[in-house]
Amino acid sequence: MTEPVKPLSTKVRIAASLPRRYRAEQRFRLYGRAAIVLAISALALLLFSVGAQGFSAFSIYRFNLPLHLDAKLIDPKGTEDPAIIAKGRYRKLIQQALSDAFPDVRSRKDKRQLYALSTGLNSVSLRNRVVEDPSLIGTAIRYTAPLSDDLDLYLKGEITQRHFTNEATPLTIDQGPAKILTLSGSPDTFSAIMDQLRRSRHKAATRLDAQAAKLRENLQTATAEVAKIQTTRIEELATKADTMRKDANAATLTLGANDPSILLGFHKGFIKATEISPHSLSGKVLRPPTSMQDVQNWRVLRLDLPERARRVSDQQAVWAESLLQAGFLKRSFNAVFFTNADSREPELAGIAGAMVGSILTLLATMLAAVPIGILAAIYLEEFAPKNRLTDFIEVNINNLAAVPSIIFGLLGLAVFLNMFHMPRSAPLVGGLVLALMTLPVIIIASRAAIKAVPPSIREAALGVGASKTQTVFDHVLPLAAPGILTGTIIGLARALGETAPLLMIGMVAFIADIPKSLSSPATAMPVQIYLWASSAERSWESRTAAAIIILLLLMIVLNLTAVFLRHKFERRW
Amino acid sequence: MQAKASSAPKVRARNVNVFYGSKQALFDVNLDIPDCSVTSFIGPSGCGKSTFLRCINRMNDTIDICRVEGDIHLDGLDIYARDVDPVILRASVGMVFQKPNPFPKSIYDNVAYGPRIHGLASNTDELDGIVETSLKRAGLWDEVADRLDEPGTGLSGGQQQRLVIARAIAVRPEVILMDEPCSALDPIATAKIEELIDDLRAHYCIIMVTHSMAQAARVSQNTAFFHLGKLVEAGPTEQIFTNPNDTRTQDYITGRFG
Ligand SMILES: Nc1ncnc2c1ncn2[C@@H]1O[C@H](COP(=O)(O)OP(=O)(O)OP(=O)(O)O)[C@@H](O)[C@H]1O
Ligand SMILES: [Mg+2]
Repeated sequence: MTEPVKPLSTKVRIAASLPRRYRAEQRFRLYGRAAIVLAISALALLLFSVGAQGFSAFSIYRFNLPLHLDAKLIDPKGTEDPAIIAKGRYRKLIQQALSDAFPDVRSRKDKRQLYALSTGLNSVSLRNRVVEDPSLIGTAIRYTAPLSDDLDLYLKGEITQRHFTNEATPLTIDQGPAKILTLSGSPDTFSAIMDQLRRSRHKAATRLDAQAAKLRENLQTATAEVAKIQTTRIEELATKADTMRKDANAATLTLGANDPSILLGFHKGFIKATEISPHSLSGKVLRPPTSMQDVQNWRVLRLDLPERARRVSDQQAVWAESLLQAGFLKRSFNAVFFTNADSREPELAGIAGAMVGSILTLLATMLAAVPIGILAAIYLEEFAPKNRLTDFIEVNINNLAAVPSIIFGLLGLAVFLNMFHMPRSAPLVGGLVLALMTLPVIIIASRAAIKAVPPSIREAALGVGASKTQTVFDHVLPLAAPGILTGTIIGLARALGETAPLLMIGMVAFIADIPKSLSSPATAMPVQIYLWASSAERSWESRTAAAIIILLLLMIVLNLTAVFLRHKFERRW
Repeated sequence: MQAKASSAPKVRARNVNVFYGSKQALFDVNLDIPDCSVTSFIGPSGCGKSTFLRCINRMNDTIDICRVEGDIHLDGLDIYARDVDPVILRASVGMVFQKPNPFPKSIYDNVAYGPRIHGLASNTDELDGIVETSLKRAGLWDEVADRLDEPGTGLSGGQQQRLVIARAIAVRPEVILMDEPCSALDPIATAKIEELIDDLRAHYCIIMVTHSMAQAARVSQNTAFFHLGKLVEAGPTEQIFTNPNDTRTQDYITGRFG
């Protein structure tokens, strides 16, 4: 009677354990999904932060000014000799063009500021244009060049937000003492601006209070000496905050160095507010208005960051705004970024040099590593006898794949540069070093792909009388090709993103020309990113991010190629 | 143990010992196999049938640990002699495996591969001819004539096995080795292959491993029984099945073991 009971109890037992099994499965699925969500959100975060930072580098503000190619400054004796034309004073010509746009700028200090709107290096492009076409000398042309990177950032609102308000209440202009104009209107015309200023002063005072509070907290733990100094500092802060609050509540506000800049634009001119009361505003002329008649339409530009805390002065900001309003400044696609090599000036720097350098390096890597790697894999997998020596070789290939890349750089430095005296900073050497690094990856991937080809295919070929070599190249290799290609491309993609070994062989130098051959000095994209990321100026930030975007795009293209090839060559057997 | 004492044997094995590393798989096998007939190898699993079959086209050379001792002669020539190239040998001793293994290429290329690498055809017309006759001999032509450029792996199992036979006969071998050619096939496909083997017998020396007594009885003229690495008994199929000399053979055939 036990016999028929047994199957039932098995069933019952299985049924009892089922919920637990399903729960385990569900848990596993949950973990899997969580892992994928985590990975994707990390990727999205990376792409978003890089994209948001780099996006602005793809456009740039360029000025377009009438420029008189004065023969006196290029070729005063009329020799038409290209050597002399090449030595013309093009920088001076560009400066003149800027002066012509703002004829009121007289003092040397102001002129220096004005000329900073265009980097001195812009003269190179102007010179090239004239050398190419000497008939331009003596004529007037339109000259276009990128605006200085600081002003570019300013106009993109990345230094401080540009708050514009347009007003349409009538104002009368009174000429004050030297370079001071006073605008008056109905009461309350400027109340809104004053409220803003008051608020920002109160905020600053609160910040000082908080600073003082923090210092006071630390007092207990400080030694007597330090405490004494800190007490005086706390008192200072308190009085400063007090005066700030008092100033904020005054009926007439006098603007100081810590206040936001209030720039008032009318009649194509600009003044910078120095004193504001509800019905009148006095300010220093930064760009003279075209007329002194009553004003109907005017606008206020508020820059919250005080002038002394930024690299663009109010004066320069006014010039940039004027050029923008007059249509002499345009934001356009930053083609320079894709056609130029590196430069000291961010507005003239591009990634073309690094990109060509990377492509040449990758080419050298490919030429060296791919044939050697694949042939080595074929030999080891199909031909080599299986003995201690081949085991030893296999272990060492696996070890090589785990060696930190900088070691390969040191090896390249010692062997290629010091022993064989190959050129420094050259894509050839970089490529060879990366080839050493990629070789084990390619060998391992290729061996795995070859091993995965079913032995029945080999037997079939050998059975009809194919030689070993014919078997391998006619049947095994085509079947292993997708795997080999994927492994190779992934290895190359890794090489494309590699920095450390390239640093060791001098591919980290500043190189302002696009490399022309495998032996000319070059950098690679990841090295360029590294170089820009460690530069101080703000404008490099967005360019670094833009270069990262392009490197990522290159990687994605490479990896998509791998996927595509895999699908194209994949066969069933 | 001579099968046909009258005519000279096609394949002659003397004192064949085979080792996988230190393990011996065949012990002193002596066997004569006549031409233009079908010879079956029967015996329990692991007794060394495949091993012996693979000695005849030196397929065992591809296994590193495998060592063959003794003499195997094909038409009186020692196939293990120094100056014999296994590539040439395999062109005259074709092989069909247990699992159909067509190349992942077109039907045409599957059959044409052998003639191509051996340079058997001087132009494409001739090659087309070889492919056609081979497929016809393998009884596959009518089924695939209009889709020669489709992949050989897309055929059914039985069709694949006949394709593989066509591939083997395309290089005009003298001997065809078949290792359990029907083990993966249904009865209808099996019948087709058996019919084919019977047709091919007129031109080739066919050696076949099989686990089916009925099949051995149906298609082969001679039968060899292996047991534990030893050749127990060989002779005309009728005699082996009706009147075996050895009790082990008797037991195996009547299904008492194996
Ligand atoms: N590649 C190999 N390496 C090691 N031992 C092997 C190898 N191939 C076969 N052998 C051994 O040799 C012996 C004979 O094997 P073989 O394949 O010839 O048997 P078989 O008679 O064909 O069996 P089956 O009917 O199951 O195919 C077996 O004991 C097997 O374990
Ligand atoms: Mg077998």
